[in-house]
Parts: sequence; structure tokens; C-alpha cells
Amino acid sequence: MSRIGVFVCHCGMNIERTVDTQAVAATLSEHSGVVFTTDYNFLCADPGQRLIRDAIAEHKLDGIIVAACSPAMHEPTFRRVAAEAGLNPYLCEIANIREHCSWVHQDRDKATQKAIRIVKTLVEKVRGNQPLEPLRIDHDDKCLVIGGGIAGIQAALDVAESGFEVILVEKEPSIGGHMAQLSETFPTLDCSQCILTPKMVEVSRHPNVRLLTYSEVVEVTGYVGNYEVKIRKNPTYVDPDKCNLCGECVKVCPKSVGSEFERGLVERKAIYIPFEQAIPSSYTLDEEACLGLHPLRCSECAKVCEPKAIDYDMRPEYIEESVGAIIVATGYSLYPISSLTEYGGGQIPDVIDGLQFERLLSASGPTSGEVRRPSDGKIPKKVVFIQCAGSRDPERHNAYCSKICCMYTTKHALLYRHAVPDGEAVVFYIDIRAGGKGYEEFTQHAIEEERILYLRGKVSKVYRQDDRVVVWGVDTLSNRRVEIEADLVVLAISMNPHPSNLALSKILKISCDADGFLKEAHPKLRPVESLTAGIFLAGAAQGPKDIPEAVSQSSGAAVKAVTLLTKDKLIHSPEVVEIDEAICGGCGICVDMCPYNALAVNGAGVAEVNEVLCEGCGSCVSACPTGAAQLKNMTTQQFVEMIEVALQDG
Amino acid sequence: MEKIRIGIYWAASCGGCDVSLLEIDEQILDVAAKADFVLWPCATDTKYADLRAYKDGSIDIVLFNGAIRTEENREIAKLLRDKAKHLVAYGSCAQMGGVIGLANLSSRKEIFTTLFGAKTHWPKEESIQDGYPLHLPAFLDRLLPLGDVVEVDYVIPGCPPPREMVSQFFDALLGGKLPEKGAVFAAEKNLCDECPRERREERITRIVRPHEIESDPEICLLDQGIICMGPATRGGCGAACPMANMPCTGCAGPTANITDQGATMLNTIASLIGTGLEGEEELEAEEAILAEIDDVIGTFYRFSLAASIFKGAQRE
Repeated sequence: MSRIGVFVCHCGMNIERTVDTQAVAATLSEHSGVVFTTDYNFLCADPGQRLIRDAIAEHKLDGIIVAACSPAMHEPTFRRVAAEAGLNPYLCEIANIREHCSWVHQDRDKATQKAIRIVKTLVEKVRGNQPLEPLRIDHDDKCLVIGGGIAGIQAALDVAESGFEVILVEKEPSIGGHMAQLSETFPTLDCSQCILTPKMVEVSRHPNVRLLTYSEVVEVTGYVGNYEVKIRKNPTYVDPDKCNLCGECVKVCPKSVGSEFERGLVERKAIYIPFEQAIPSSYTLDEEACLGLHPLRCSECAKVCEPKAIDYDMRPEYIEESVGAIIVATGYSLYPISSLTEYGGGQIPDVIDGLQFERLLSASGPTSGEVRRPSDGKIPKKVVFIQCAGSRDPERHNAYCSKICCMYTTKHALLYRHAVPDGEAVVFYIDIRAGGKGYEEFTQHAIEEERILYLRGKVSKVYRQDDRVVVWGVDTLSNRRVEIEADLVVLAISMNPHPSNLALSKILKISCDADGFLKEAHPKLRPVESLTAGIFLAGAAQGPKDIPEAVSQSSGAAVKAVTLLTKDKLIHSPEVVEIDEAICGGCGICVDMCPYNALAVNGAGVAEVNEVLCEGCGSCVSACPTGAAQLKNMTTQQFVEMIEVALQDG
Repeated sequence: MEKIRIGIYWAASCGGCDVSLLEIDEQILDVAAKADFVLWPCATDTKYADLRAYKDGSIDIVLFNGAIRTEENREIAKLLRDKAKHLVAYGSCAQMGGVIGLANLSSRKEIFTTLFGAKTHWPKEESIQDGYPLHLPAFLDRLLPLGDVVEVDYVIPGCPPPREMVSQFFDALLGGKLPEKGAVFAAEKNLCDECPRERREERITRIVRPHEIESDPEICLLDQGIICMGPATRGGCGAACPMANMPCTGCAGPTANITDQGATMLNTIASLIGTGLEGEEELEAEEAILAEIDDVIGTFYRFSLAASIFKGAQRE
């Protein structure tokens, strides 16, 4: 390549303030193979783009460098500009002199020298580039949604409404997720089930939705647009088509365990239905709780089942589906209460978590909405709510803010005051984070009108004294130690990532962040996408969220999935790895390295690349002991030349 | 037909390369019939004065074994470059510095102190012995592969070059079918291509030395935790060492695209180890596995240290 053009962008003052762009252009004009250089205020603006197009035509450029911002920003822009001028877009490279230079330096002379080196490396790179054509691939047009909470339901409905088939997989026996457990929702105090159940019904009846409850995704292979999914439907041991919901089995079942839906406040039988409005409305025999799934061991339920719906021989069923896109909406779990030993978590029965309190408040809960404490069923006359339990405590617990606790604590205190008008509610808080429509007003109303005592300070200790729970804390505003004898303590426990996130992230080959939440592709500009193409994130799987946020993110993820499914063909970058068959000895080391399963040793004993699977990460290249694996347009040879010019004197 | 004029020279070498020439069995008769040995210090008596008297380019091909350790080695290498039409780096030492290249881990001073003790005992370049002046060639600061001193036309790798490669070379030479300059008389692919052991494409979870385990002769040595240099080494020997239940040590050097054999294999091993743990725990586990490697340089750079990017220690 001998006719290279270099375009240096000022980015307003973003680059120009620290880098002498004219000097960069002037120095590069002397560099071998460079026949045209210029600098311009905003190359990404229309006139800037025109300037590049005109220069390519006028100077017959056969390679261009745009020295500007990160390629993550405008690489597509400038490659399109190159293509419009008849230059293969892969002969356009971006030299990042903003994020990698002007933004991180102050000394103008040194920054200018560094910018020159950066641009020179890209000149060397483009010199070794080959013109490439993007890969065009077919795709399936179904969408898999993992998780049947409000986020998954919303995403499934949005995709289904767009005319695409959805497979909605839920691990539990019913869809609904945590929202089904809530009593009322802040700040409007709508009944949670009342607004959720219509959506549950809609998604279960939607002609485009295939609902698989009590099911888990066990294997995912393939790539964007062409994922092969294996789902295990766990046996419920009850045939939902035969079961007439008479409930006789529950009456005779001799085994009880804590109800998950009621957060252990009451027990359920080994054969059970999670809650009345469960969908599907069908019994499940919990094989772990059951005495033995064997007629000789117990079989009480089978004996009384008139329609003969119980089948102990039911086995897991494996369902295979091909889908084009995947939306992950696994939701959250709570930080284990037993880890909060300083608050008596897991030891004092009247220290409960927020979701347990939701069940106590809920009209469909174990106390039919009467607030009665777990230990003795008495109505608590004094309740202490402790915020940030397990959150914002990097030394002992989670460092992050769980975001929703400020608001639901206000709601809890308020609903408690409504349920027990002569009861006292005290809230310990660090800060009140009430950012959201109507949230601040809601909190202020609770403090001012509902006689809820807000104490700013942390609780140091909670212990049991006779039948009361004593809370030691501090009120930092009046600088006093506070000791409160309460009847019930409610911990606003930190939201944890769902425990299945880690295993699922491996199955899906997406990343988790340090806290275990699923990682988005870009925190601001790609919040609903994972880094793996075709896999999208919705709801609290990605981080703590309240319902409106989870719902809007789900709709966002649904649009991303639909955008993909609507396309005729998918475009895949041709900047993938290629194998030099003359050198490759088929050792297969690259095969284990590939995080995308894009490599395999073929019958001829040579590694072979499935180009559409390859994301061009280069893991195989660094592991390849022969140099046979090379990334197109980023070969070792190109790297060496780039390093040489970067380290050159002067 | 005029006979082919062959020269054989040894520089810093153990002598094994000279012996390996005889391994070609009856093919040696062909060589004898079609070629004359105009220089072969190991077998014939040729003085440097005779060599200097040869016209430039008058030796058809010189097989140069051994590395450049002394001023004499360097001088003769340059002389032979002038006299030879084709110069061949024969064996690992000429190609990459070889085992003796590991001396580059020590400075000249350290080597002499170890060998001779106090500086007063060191041999001098100029001295009088029995009334006659004695000149000893200077010992270079660093051992060099032949290619660092003169341009090399062909490489016959190996320590010593195995029969197959030597034979392949003589076939080409005697048949008048020498390949283009730069050719290496070994396989283009790595050793794994010839190795019959089955690779299970597993992560390395422990590292052991061959004597520490009873290895499975059917399974890839890397899979069993033995560091085998085969992946980063040219084939052509028929995977001789792995066939004898020993790991490849890398004597044939890297494949064409690789500049630093040791660094490449280190990269490969670093990529391959893994226990399946997460985060910090995994890092610690991987470090523990890597710590099991005994003699990193001797394992990964046994033959190629002098030709590596860092070439050895710089202490003087």
C-alpha cells in the first residue's frame, strides 16, 4: 500500500487542546507511503466526512487513517465514509488520539509526540491490511427468554407481539418471580399481584409464546442468530392435563417443608402449588422433599388421586430449540439473612427480611395481610426497619447500593402504619435515595404525614431480650446513642445476583461483573446487550432495579432482539482468525482456547475456523505455538511492525 | 561430471553434528561418489592457510555446525561465507545457539570465574608458552547463532540433525535440486502433526517432570502435565522423543512464523493451564501450577536462548 491518507481530528478542543494536530499531520506527511495528510475540526461531522471522501477520490488513496476518538465510537462512521468513496472499508483504520492520548495527558509537546507515534503504528497496520468483505449469515427467528419474572414476562410479550415466536423458560414451577410475592408497589401502592397477574395470564396464553416452567437451560451452542438451545424440563411427577386441582394429594402428603413462596414463614407439602394464581395452575411434587417417589415408600398422594395424574416414573424431558436471539432475565436473590449476624439474622425469629415482610403485608399471605410476627403470632406494636442491611458495606458485605430498599422500606413502614394504626415505625437509614418519579414525594409524605420516625444512622447490634428484639443504633443527626426495644425488626436486605448467573454465564458465554450480576456491553450506550452478539439482558439480572426500570429495560432488550430477528441476513465482521494450513500441525491447543467454540481440528489434522462464530478476540493466536493462527488484518507481522515504529527513535 | 565440493566446519560444538553425518547409512556411498570434502576438520587435515587460498565461491556448499563463541569462530564463519556458494546452518547450535547458548545466562566474567577462579588465572589472549608467543582467540561477550554473524542460506535443524533431515538434504544436493534460499530441511508443520499420541484438548492442571509419573504412552504428554515442546517445534524427526516416552525439547526450532520459540511456548502453556476456578482463586491456582515448572529457561529455551528476543542476561 503506497497511497495512504492521514486525517487528524481536533474533536473541537478535546484533542486540539493537548495535541498539536497540525504538527501531527505535518510529521505524518513525511512518513513513508503517506501521500496526503490534513487536520480538521470535526471529521465526524458531515463536512468532515465529505473532506475524507473527496481526498480519497482526488488523491487515489488506497488506505486511510482517521486519527480521532476511540474506534468504539466512530469506526463504523469512517469505514462507511471510506466505502462511499469506493475504498474497501477494512482499509480504513482509526488511530485513537483522544482516549489514549489527549484526554489522559497535559503536556502538549509530549502528547503531540505520542499522538504521532500512535498514528504511525496505525499507518503500519493499514499497510498490512487486506481488503475484506463482511460475512452474511442466515438466522433463526425465534427468541429464547430465560426467566419468567416481570422482566422476562415483559420481554417475552414484547417479542411475541412483534410476531416472533418466544420460548419462555422459568426454573420455578410458576412464572411471576419476586413480583408475585410483593404486597403493594411503591410509590403508587398498587396491589402487586393485581397488576402482575394479567401479564402472567397474557404471556401464558399468547399464541407466540411457548411456556416451559420448572425448566432450565442446560446447553447453548452456536452463535448470534443461530443458537442451539437445550432445555431440561424437570419432572413435576404430576400430569397437568389429568390433574383437576382437587387438592386431595396435599391433604394426605405427610411431608412438610418451608414454603419458598412464603419465604419460610409457613410450610408447604412435598406436593404443592406455589400460590393460588400460579401459572401453570398445576401441582408439583418436589422430589427432594418427597419421601421417596416410590409406591413402596409412601404413595399417599397417588392413592387419593382420582384422575391418576401422579406418575412417579416421570423423567426429565430434554427440549431442543433453535433460536436467533436470547434474552436473559434471571432476576435476583436476597443476600443471605444468616450472613447478617450483627443483626441476629437467621437466629432471632423476629428479625426478618423485606420479602418476608411483604408476605406478612400481603392479603394473600399466610396471615391474610394482618401483620403478625413469626415467633408468637402477636401483632408487633413497634417495628424497626434497618436499611442498607448487607449493602454499602464493603468491609463485611456488598459494596454496592441495592437501589430499591429506600423506597420499599418507606412503603413497608407506611403499610405497617396503615395495618397497625397504633403501631410505631422506626427506620434507620444512611441516606435516602429517592430518585425516581414520585419517589421523593412518597418518602416525604411517609415521614411527615404518617408519623414514621426516620433516624439517620447505622444499627450496630440487634439482640433478643425476653420476647422483644433490642436494637442498638446511633442517631447521627442528634449525636445520640439509641436503644429501641422492638417487637419486630425488618432488614432491607441487599439484592444479590441470582445464584444461577454464574453457571448460566458460562453456558451462554457472557460475562458477570465482580459482584456476579450479568455484564452489559457498555454501561451507558449498550445497557441491554451482553458482549456476546445476540444475547440481551433484562431486569435485575444485570443489576439492582425496581419494577419500572426492569420493565423498561425488558422492552429495550425485546427491541434489540426483534431488530436482530427482523433482519434478512446478519452481518458478521470478517476480521476473524485464519489458519495457515501449511504450518498447522493440528495440536488442537487453539480449540480449547476459543471461548466461542469457533475452532475444531478437522479430518485432515488441521485446525478449522467457523468464521461466523469467531469474534476475533485473538485468544487462539496468542496460544498457537506455530504461528499458524493469525487474525485477518491484525497479524503478528503487523503487530511487530507496529511495535517497531512505536519504539523508533525520534 | 564434476564433483560437488563440500566443506564441513565445526565452531563451538560438541561434535555430535559431525557424527550425525554418518547416520545416513548407505547414502554415504552416493555422497562419496558425487562429492569431494574440501574441508572437514573432524576427519581431514586442512589448514586455515589452505582455506584462505581457495577462491571465493569455490566451495559449493558448507555445512557449518556449532555456534559462534570465539573470535576465531566468527572469523572462520565470515571466511567460509566468502568461499561458499551456499552456507548451511547445521544443527541447533549454528541455527539458534543450541544448548551452549544457555551460557548467555552468565556473563563472560562469571563463566571465566567459574572455570578458572581468580582473574589472575584467566587465560590471556597473548602469552609466551615455552618461549613461543601464543595467541588465543578472544572469547566473545555473548554466544551467537551463525545467522547473527553471516547470512545463512539453509538450515538443517536438530541436536543433532536426525537422519531423515540430513538424508533429505543430501537427496536435494546430489540431485541438483536445492530449494530456494531460506529453506529449512524439516517439516513446515509442528511436531504434533507427526506425533501419534492422542491430545484430549484439556487444560493443564498440574506440571510434572517425566520421572515423576508413569505416563500413558497413548496420550499427549501435555495432557499429562509434562511440558513437551512439540507444539512449538518443527516436525521432521517423526516425533522421535515423544515416541520414546520423553517430551520434545525443541531442538528443531520453531515453525516459520515464530521468532521466539521459548516465549511462544510459554504463551501456549500460560494459555493452557487452568483449573476452572474463578477470579482470584483461579489466579492463585494458576500461579501454583506455573511454579511447578522446574528450570523455566532450560525447559523453554533449551536450544533457542541465544536466538531469543532477549538473547540472554545482560550483566556486564
